[in-house]
Amino acid sequence: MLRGKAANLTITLAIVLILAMLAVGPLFLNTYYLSVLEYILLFMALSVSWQFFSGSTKYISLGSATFFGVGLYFAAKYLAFSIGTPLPVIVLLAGLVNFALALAIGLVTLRLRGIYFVILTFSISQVAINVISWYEATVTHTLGTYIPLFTAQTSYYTMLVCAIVILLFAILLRRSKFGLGLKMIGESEEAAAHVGVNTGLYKTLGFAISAMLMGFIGACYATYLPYINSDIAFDFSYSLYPAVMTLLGGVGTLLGPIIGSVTITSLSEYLSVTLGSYFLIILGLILIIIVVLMPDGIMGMVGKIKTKLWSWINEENPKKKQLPT
Amino acid sequence: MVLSAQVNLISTQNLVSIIFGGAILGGIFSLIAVGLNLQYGVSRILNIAIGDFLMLGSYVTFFFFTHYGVNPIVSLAISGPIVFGLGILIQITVFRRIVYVSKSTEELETKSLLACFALPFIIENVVFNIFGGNPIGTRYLSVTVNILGAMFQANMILAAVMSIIISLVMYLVLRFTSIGLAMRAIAEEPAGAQLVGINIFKIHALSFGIGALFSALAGSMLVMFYSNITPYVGPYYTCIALAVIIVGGMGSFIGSLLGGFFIGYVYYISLSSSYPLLTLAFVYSCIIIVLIVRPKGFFGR
Amino acid sequence: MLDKKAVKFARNAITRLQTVIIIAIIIVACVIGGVSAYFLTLKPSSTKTSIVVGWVHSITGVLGPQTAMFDVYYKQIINNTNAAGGLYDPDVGKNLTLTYIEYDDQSVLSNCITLTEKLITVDKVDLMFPPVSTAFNYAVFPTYQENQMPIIATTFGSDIAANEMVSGQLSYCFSVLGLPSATGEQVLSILQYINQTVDPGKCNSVAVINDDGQHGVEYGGAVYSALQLAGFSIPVHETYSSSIADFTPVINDLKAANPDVVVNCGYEGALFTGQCISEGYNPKLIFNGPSMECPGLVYGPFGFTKSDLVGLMQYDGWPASAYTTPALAAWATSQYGLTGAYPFPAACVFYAALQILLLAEAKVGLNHVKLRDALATDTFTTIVGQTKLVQGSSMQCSLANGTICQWQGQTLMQVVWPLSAASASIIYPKPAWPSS
Repeated sequence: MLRGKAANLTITLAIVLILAMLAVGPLFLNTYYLSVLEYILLFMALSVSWQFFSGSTKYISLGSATFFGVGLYFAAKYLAFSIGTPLPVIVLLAGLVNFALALAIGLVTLRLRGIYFVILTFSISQVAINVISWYEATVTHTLGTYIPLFTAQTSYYTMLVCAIVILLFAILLRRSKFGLGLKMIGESEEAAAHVGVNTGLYKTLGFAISAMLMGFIGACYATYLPYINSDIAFDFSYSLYPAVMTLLGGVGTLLGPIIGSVTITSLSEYLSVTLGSYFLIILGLILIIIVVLMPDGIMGMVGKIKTKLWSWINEENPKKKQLPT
Repeated sequence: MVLSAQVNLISTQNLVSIIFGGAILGGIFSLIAVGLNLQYGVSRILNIAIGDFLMLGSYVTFFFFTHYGVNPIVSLAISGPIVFGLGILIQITVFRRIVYVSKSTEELETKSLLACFALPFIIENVVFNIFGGNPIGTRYLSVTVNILGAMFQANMILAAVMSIIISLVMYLVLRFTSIGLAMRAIAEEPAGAQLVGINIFKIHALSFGIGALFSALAGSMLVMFYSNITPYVGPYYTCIALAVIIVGGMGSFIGSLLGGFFIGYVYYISLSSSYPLLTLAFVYSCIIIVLIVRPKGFFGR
Repeated sequence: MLDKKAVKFARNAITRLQTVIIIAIIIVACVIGGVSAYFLTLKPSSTKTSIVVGWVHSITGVLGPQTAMFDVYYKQIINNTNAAGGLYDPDVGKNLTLTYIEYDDQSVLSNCITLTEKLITVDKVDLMFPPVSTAFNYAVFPTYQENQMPIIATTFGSDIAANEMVSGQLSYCFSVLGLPSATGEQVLSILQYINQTVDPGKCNSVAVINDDGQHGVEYGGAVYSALQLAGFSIPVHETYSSSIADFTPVINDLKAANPDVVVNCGYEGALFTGQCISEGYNPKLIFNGPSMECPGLVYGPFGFTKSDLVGLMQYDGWPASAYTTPALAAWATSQYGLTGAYPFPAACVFYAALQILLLAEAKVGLNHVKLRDALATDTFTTIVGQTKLVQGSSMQCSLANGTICQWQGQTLMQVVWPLSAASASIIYPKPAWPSS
């Protein structure tokens, strides 16, 4: 709608405002509201990471919980055993571990498409939960891990910085040759191959990068939680919600996952306390409505409204033109 | 002599326990999978909420058992039709619309899958708000039967036998009735089937309803002998049914029948082994291995 | 011409409109920020009219039935205190009414953690009562410690956390019941007694089975270690899933191994016992874990009869009392009046623990640091006599000090160990299941 300088000014102003508010948050908000914000940042980061691969290539992955959980567990175990390492190093290592893991998984699973890929990624995350909880119950006899505590401010800023980094990553890669290649694979894999895109390499790398980003945010979230076990870390919500939120927001765009995640998490934090399980019923209904009526999500609707409005404004009134002189 | 006889007895008992135990579970898993397979094969809906229809069947049976003293076996005739009707209703309101909107089979499948993810939220929480979250179960006909030294509950055996009978009836319906023929036609060639005048929308709704029906029957039987049914037990059985049809082959009736027994045995043997906690991991590993080695499954087309 | 101008004006209007909206949003945001900052940093009013207690319970979900029992105690002590005139607050100088805030975590562990944090930081309750079960307490301890809120964890037993209580990392957390390693020793000592005195040489193989929850893993592990070190043979040591629906495979293994004693550490004792009855498995002794010690549960939803249970042992009945003193008998009767069932032998200490928290508050006020120190060092007079909390160990009380109990066909269990605290002698071996 806005063009040129006005548009840039508005967007920059909006971004600066939001960043400023987020940065000074800890001064005004108590720890509970900070943790709500962290929760929103978490799902925003997860949705953006998910959308980077699955949104572009249309290979719907329900294995996000695997990578998030591995990042979380890695950081938790590392922190529990050696507290000297600086936090960024731990986060980076967690990301690298996930990158390697996703490369291995991707080489095996990316040969499948459609529904098979969805089921396979889902099954892998479930096997992870089961094996880890078995291992803890029967081999180590210690369920879960206590995580050394960080102050609320530290964990908040860690999450904020990580989410921003992930967002920048996604923005930069989107416009790059790599990102465009992924998008083309999503539209038509055969055509992409014909054009010269190395589909196998791109898919595997894309999957691995997406997993790495999820690993980053997982490791950062470890600064917030006091205690984790396999059920908490690999919970299916971490696989399902990023997909749902991206769908709500609009699969193709960058703002899509952001809008979707912010909407659903802030709604759920507020409503689930007042409405309890009724909120989940409403969420289910919303999801069905989106799938059936709004396949392009909120951003799709916004786009449609914009086009309609713009064309209404630009339209010369034909009747007046044809008035007899 | 006595010692070797004792050793023999122990292993026979174990073997019998596994053979029958796996078969009992297999019969029930097959029933759920046959339903899921029907829904996918005919209406192209991979119903992730099938476990929740199972849960609905359990709760209807439980309700009639505790409030009106209705025999759980008799209430199969109540819970079945109720969930059947609900299944048809859901198919007409939600999935028919998706069929209209979708431009390709793949799009239809993906959209239906996503809608199926939403159903559990709704169904589980409605049941939770009505019945609460405490585990339910009815202890009906829990007389133990002694087969060759291994103990089984009479209700489990009954449930398995009934499940197998229902699956076989479905097989006969598919093979010999005109509706069965219509279903098979739509599963194989939807466009051609419409050309010869088969009402595709009616058959879609019917098959979705029957899938829900079978799942509910399985649930009604489960609540006879398990006492840990909660509103959130759906996804557990959905995953098992999913494993069955992946291993057996999506779209294949024989696949879901035999696959059910296969998964039933994997499940029961794992429970009896030294690693009962890894039961689910073994089941999911079957999915992973089959998808990697032969994605179509054993009997898939 | 007019149309073109109108169109251009409309375009610019939208541009201008958007800029105006953005600036308005900035102004509103600043105003909201300033106003909320003002209110948030406002000093709270100094007149206090009530003391607020908070707790998170699994009111719904799988743990619902067990938790319901503790809910009764929590509400009972609040009602009793208010009926007696309220709780004294030394900082204010008079009795204040007790009110409470209760949240439902729906048996989901992560909900319990976030709701606990909410109670402490948002609702700003004065005192906290603990959640139910070892796993839940274990998970929320760091939250209590971080927020410096003292917590007396009643339904909790973990050696790992106990060590941290002693070392000071969990200085705000207190334990009440016997912990896993201590339980292991007690089970060992009673089995040694049986093996030496009651049935010499014939009670030396023990099967240990446990669920995969925090309680099961730690107690099962502790019993296993204690028995193994002392030379008992352990033919079966299995872990089953907490959501187990059918014990038949486990019972088959037990039948094949034929141990003298079975120790079942977990919350699924009812299902296990029921299936042992229906499958005719009757070892010389069966020990069960939590939930099988409550008359309200076993004679109620679990549906057992008195004769079903004769001979069943309970390892977690401590500190236990058979309610023989007047104070305890009166308390047990009041419970019967409230719930229709008598409390199990270790239940009195749950109530006593809550009493200690309130008594400590009446002594030192609501300052959490002072409260914590009082809880750690002082002795209080409760329904179980002179009572002192010992961090990382079981509560010391002058009246109740049994450790192992047994169902002997009455409404309440009898205390059978140690012999000095026993109210009845042990029934050994366990009689055959009643044929029904």
